[in-house]
Formats: sequence, structure tokens, C-alpha cells
Amino acid sequence: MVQLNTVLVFWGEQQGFNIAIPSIVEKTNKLINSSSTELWFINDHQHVESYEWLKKLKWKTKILVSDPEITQPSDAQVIEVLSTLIRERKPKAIILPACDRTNKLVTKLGLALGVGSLLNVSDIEFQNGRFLLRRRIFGGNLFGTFKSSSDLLICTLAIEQTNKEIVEKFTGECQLLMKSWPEMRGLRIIRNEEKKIKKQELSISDAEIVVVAGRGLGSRNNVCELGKLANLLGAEIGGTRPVIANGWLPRFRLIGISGNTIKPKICLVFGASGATPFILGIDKSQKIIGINNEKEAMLFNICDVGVVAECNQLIQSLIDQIRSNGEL
Amino acid sequence: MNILVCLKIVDDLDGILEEDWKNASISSLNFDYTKKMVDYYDEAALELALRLKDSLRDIGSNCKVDVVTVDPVDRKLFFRSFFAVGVNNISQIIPEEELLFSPYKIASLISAFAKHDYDVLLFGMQNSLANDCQTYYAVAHTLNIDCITNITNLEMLNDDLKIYFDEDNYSFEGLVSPPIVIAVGDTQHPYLRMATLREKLKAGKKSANYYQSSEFLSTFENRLPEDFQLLSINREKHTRNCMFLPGSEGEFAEQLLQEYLAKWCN
Repeated sequence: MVQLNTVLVFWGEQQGFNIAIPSIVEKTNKLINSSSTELWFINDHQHVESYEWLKKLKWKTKILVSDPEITQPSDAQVIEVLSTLIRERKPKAIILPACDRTNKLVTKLGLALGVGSLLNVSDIEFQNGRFLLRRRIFGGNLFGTFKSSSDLLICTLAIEQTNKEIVEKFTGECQLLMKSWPEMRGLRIIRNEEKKIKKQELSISDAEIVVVAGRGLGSRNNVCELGKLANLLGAEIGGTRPVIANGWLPRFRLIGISGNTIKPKICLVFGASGATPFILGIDKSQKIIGINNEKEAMLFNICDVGVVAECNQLIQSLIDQIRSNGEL
Repeated sequence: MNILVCLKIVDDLDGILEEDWKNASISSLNFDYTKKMVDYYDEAALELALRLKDSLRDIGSNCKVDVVTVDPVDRKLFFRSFFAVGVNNISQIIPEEELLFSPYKIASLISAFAKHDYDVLLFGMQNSLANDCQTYYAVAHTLNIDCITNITNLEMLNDDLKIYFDEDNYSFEGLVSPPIVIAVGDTQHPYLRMATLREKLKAGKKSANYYQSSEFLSTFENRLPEDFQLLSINREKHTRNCMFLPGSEGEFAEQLLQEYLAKWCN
């Protein structure tokens, strides 16, 4: 196993790091491991008072960067702190789990340091003194293997929630370095009218049963009918990109490479052709049932059960049957 | 207000044959037979720019919308439709090498082209081919201006731009002062408007400007890091064995309910 001074950085609002870590260890081919990796927790201010949970992780070093007075540090502040830590501790690689914010931070950090960065990497290897990174390209249809030219790797890692829990549960000594945010001029954005609206609690990623609307349903009304079926089944409803683009479902119900990745017990897909960016959003489902009126639809390549039928009629039949069964 | 929309014409990936995906390699990436289209988010960015132009024109303010694309292939057909819907100027920068996976080189070209002549530089959030989301950050860094991403809407408010954007599970509104780089995400109007016949005929007389990348590449090249090098590509496809339900349409609902969905019926 290669021993490198790597750093895994968690952004404070990221959830489920203790589940993400086993996935990250696997995806980095154990480059991330408890003996050679430092963990840096940024803006985890809500845990400042009680970092017992940190002490239980048997990792080489844990650094907590936090300031309870500042709940939303600017990108410039975060990058300044990360740059200072990188200069002090000279890691070989900086890896963050991917999300909107970390993708932005990593790109800006790389530009500030004059180092290239790569986003949403699927896995990482270290060969012949260089990092090799794999990432999906061409809408997820292919994997590209990229080589970094720099000595320092900066990237985000696309992680999937797994059901594995962190195996190492040790108590042990840890070194904590407390830092506070530097004084910065701040960005030039004027937020006089900033309104922060927390989007609806999204349960689609955790749902046990999901029904998905594809463009083949044809109209917003038909998608509404599918919504009724979802209610009767206690299911969440999601949509493919064309459905979202047409405004038939809100953006946060997008299923696919740019939206939600789901892993329900049952996924019912109505009227989707089976384009790869969408398939990548559902392929962790335990059972996929696809309904399309064309037997040659690509969708059926990834289904466990296929139904060649007119989607809207089948939706109505299901609704009618469930209701009549309920009345018996 | 001067707006520059940076866009790409891409292959419709849904039209590519499985055989071609399996056989794809760096030297043989040729999807000439597929339909071409404006990249999804770039199209939304262009429509957003035109809507902003419309709203400024309604209040008597001038606004210019220009388009630039970095592409080795002449996209005349698309340019005609862009002129028809109200784009003022179109420029195509022709690179000497393939730059699909070189966001920093592309950023260097665009920055050198745009210089500081534009108030707003609009990009689509995500490149559907390279799947990178970095070019606009690199442009902002090179031009030393701010960059905001995941924009869902834009309005003018006096001399400022009112912006609506998403980040992770939150939606924001804010005000920014140009110049600014903006990456457009999921908007309410992602599709480009259709031109009338009169607009198309009028646009037929306009033509784009063409530049060689060598005219620009050295200007900002040293300000940006080296791009990652693509070594190889491969196809990994997961399939399942699909069992088709037997019987006729009238029987499917009952079969589904009995065999798979009974547990979830309320």
C-alpha cells in the first residue's frame, strides 16, 4: 500500500462523513487511510464544543478550522486557510468529497495555487510517481483516465453513500490545531437582498420506492397522474431532464448524473428512453421496472422487469386497481 | 450593457451507437453522424442573455449580446439561427489542437478574446462532453473578476444585476456589480427561442468572425495551470437481464401489483 501524505477535507455542512469515508478509502485504492491521511474539518463550528467524535477516529491528524462567529466564511477565506495549511503541512494530495460548494472551492484553490484540479473524480491511483484519476466523460457514457502534471493533486471525489459504516472505532490521542478565519476584504458581491430559502427536505434519495416520469408521458397533466400513483404507493416521484426542463416537475426532483442518485428497493420508470446520464442516477436501485411502448428502448437494458405498454394507460389502470382493491 | 455568451456545439450523445461507444478511443472519437446541438446549459445561458436584452430594451437601455465559441468546425448553420434570434456578433476561435479536455486553455483563449470589453460573461454550468465545470472559474481568475455559478435567473436593478442562484440545497438572491462571470444552471426557460421567417431572412446577410487560436493563446497562458492530460478512455456499462411481463396490456397492472407492488399499496 502506497503511503502518501494525503489530506481529506470535509466541508462542515457535508452530511454522513462517517459513511462516506469507507467509500472514499475504496475509491482511492487506500491512498486515503488512517495511518497516512490527515483529516481537515472546515467550518465545523457546531462541533467545536464537543469533538469527542473526532477523538474516536484513529487518523493521523485532525485539524478543525472553525470560528463560531462566522457561520458562512467566504470562498476567499476558506481558500486562504487551506493555502496556509498546504504550505505548512506540504501534503501530496488534497481530496474533498464532491458537492456544489467543494467543486467551486477546489477549482478556485487550484487557481490560487497555480495547480490544476479535477472534479467529480470516480477513483484515484498512484503509479510511477503520478496520480491517475478516472472520471466520467461524454455524459457519463465513458470513463476518461487523466494524469496530473503537478506534484500536488487537488480534486473532488464523487462519493456514493454506502451502507457500510466506518469499521475503525478506536479511542486514541489526536492532535487538534485550532485556527480562526483570517481577516479578509471579502468578495465584491453585494447581498443586500439575500434570501436564503431552504429547499424542501428532500427524501427522494432515501426513498424505498420511487416512480420516475420520463418525457414519454407527454404532458404536465400526465405527470400529475403519475404523482397520484406515487401517493397511493407511498413513493417519491422523480423526473428525467426533459421532464424538469419542460417544467413538469421542480428541479430538485431531477434524477440523473446532474441531479439525484437514488437507490430504492423499487424504481418504476415510465416513459424514459434510458439515456446514460439518467441511468447513472438509478442504477443502484435494487429492482428497476421499466415501462415504455417501444421494446427496443435503451431503458430495458438496465431493467429487471420490462413492460411494453402505453405508459399513461398503465398508470390509470394501476390507480384504478389500487383504489378498487382498497375499497374491497 | 455588453454580454458575451460562451457556448459549445456538441454531439447529441443519445444518437451514438453502442458499437461506437465500445470502440471509442482517444484517436477514434468521431461522432460525425450524430445530430449537433447547442450544449444544454449553454442554450439556457443564451436565452437568458436575450431575455435580459429584451428587458433592458423595454426600459430604453442599450444591450448587446455577442457569442463566442472555441471550435475547430465551422458552425455556420447555428450562427444563422443565433443572428436570427437577436445575437449581435458571433466569433469563432479555431484551435490548432483538440481542446475538449483542456478547460484552462479554453479559458485562456476566451479571456484573451473578451479582454475587459464585456460587463457579463455567461457560460453554461456544465460541459456535457468533458463533464468539467471549470472554464468559467478560470476565465474569472484570469480577468480578475468574480464568478457566480448555478444562476437560475437574472434581472437588472439600477446599475446592478439581481441574481438568483442555487448552491447545494439552498436558493439565494443577491446583487452583483458587473463585470462578472456567470455560469447558468437550471433556468425556467432553458430552450432558445424560435426566430420568425422575417428574422431569419434578415439574419441571412450577417456573418461570423473567425480567428485562429494562435492570435490569442499566449496572452494569458502563464496565468493558468496546466490542464490534466487525458490518457485513455473506456466504456463500462452495467446491464441487467430484463424479464418482460407476458400477457396483454389489460393484464399488466394486475401483474405488477400482485408480484412487485403489493407491499407498498396504501
